[in-house]
Amino acid sequence: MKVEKMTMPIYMDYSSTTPVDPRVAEKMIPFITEDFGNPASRSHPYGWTAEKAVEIARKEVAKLVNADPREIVWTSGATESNNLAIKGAGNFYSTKGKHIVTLATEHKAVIDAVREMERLGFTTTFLQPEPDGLVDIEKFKAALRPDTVLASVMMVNNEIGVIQDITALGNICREQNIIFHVDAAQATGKVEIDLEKLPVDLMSFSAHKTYGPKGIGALYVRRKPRIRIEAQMHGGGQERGMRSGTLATHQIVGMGEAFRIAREEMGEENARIKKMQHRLYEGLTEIDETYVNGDLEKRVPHNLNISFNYVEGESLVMAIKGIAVSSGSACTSASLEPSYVLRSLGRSDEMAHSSIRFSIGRFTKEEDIDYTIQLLKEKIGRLRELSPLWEMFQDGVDIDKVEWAAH
Amino acid sequence: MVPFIKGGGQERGLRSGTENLAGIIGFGKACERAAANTVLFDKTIRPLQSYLEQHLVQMGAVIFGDQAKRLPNTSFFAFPRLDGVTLLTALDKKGFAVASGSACSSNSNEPSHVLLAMGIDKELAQGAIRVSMGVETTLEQVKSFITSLKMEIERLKQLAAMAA
Repeated sequence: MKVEKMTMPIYMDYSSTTPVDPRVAEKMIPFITEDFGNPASRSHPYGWTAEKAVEIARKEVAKLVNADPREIVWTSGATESNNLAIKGAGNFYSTKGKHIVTLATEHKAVIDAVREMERLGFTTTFLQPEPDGLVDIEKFKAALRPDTVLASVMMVNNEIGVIQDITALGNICREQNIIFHVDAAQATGKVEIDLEKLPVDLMSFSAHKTYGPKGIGALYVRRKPRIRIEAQMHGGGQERGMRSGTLATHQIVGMGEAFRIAREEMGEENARIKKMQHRLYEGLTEIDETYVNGDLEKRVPHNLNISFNYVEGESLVMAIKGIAVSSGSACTSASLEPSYVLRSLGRSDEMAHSSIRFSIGRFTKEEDIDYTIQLLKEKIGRLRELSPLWEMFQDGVDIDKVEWAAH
Repeated sequence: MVPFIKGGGQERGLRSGTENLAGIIGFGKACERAAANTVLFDKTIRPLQSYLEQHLVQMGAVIFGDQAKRLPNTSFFAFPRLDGVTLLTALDKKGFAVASGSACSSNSNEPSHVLLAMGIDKELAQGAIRVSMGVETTLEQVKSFITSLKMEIERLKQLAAMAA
């Protein structure tokens, strides 16, 4: 089957996935064709070459987050890492207690894994964040109980890009001897992560949000103090028994190279992206009745999530086909449900519906930003011309107070 | 089935997680080629296997599962009283990458659990060597493997005789 080639819109959806950096792809190819050995093969150089490459990549991943390579466990991606961390640690330490605390704005992989723990007899607390998207530290503290065994909080939110105070949350968990898991899928290469300093026990990573390939990720499992997890996948005993399955050498090499580039270039890159974010923010907020979702300061430079009031969400998405964006996260964009993350911030269904997540990255150019601003200004202007609600708003009618006649 | 990895609900909810796009395309293409080449695979490799195994038997090897319906590319065998790891190391030095069993368990020196389950004597299982070939394997390679193997076995037998 040939997929029809169409003129591609400008990519403004880096939070869904990033292109593989050409340097990463180049590094991966020999491990598909020539150095194809199974890293677990011990009797010949094909295996040794593959194993060596895997260990170099492990060091690179560890280096980006200042961890020990022995603390890195390869997985198929952040979804698996989140499942492994929550189910693996939850079950291992269940004699201590059976209560889990997380946020209502977590990625589905955390939410659904925690829900799965409910099925296994755990009780759970899903904390609502403040309207700025950040969890209140005191409320978090208050949610912890003597039987709380695990807390899971994402570092960077995938929809609104806000950065949680992981140090403060982790310190509270440490004081109360609670395992602390952090989903950092959206954080690598965007925020400094120093696991020697951060009070975090388990951390999930993904390659494809940081210019690596899809289908590979890792879970950080702290050694000092040692954190134990129950394996979820059993078999060949790879990854010290924590995650069996033949290692995907080329994928691992790709993740290692992607994380190496991130470590070396993130300083300069984030400064450049921050400038573009500012340009986009300035341009889009010239449009009336626009609301930024999530705190503007405690936020990665790659993300801008904006609600356009008095515009119907679906029509808006249809009108801006020239750019590739998402309303809500990619995983849930197939559904027409308004984003549960935006709902948690207290946005109305209408506002959540008419929100767009712009996410930019390594290959975004200034002219892409300018095109986006022009496109949004033009299309929103046109959509509002057709909107009776907009007309009423212009006339000074408080739409929330209008009592609609029943038909 | 109860889904094992939960999250974004990909694969009709049975297996969440962003699809490994390049990997999936590769798998699809590999399956397409495999479907087209199954007969060819058998035709090219079966004669190599017969040739190899004839010589192995002549050299005194026991071929595991030789009476059963088997893949044309895999020969799992052992020479009584010859250590597998020593033989593997020697073969590696001569440029042959073979295995003592599955790669997953190549870390341990335990004999193959598959052979033990088949009722093979533990000592014989300890010497097991797995040769697995592909469509690119040639008759010349097989011949050269046999020559090297013969030389190694002679050498090991002499060493054993000297030690005795």
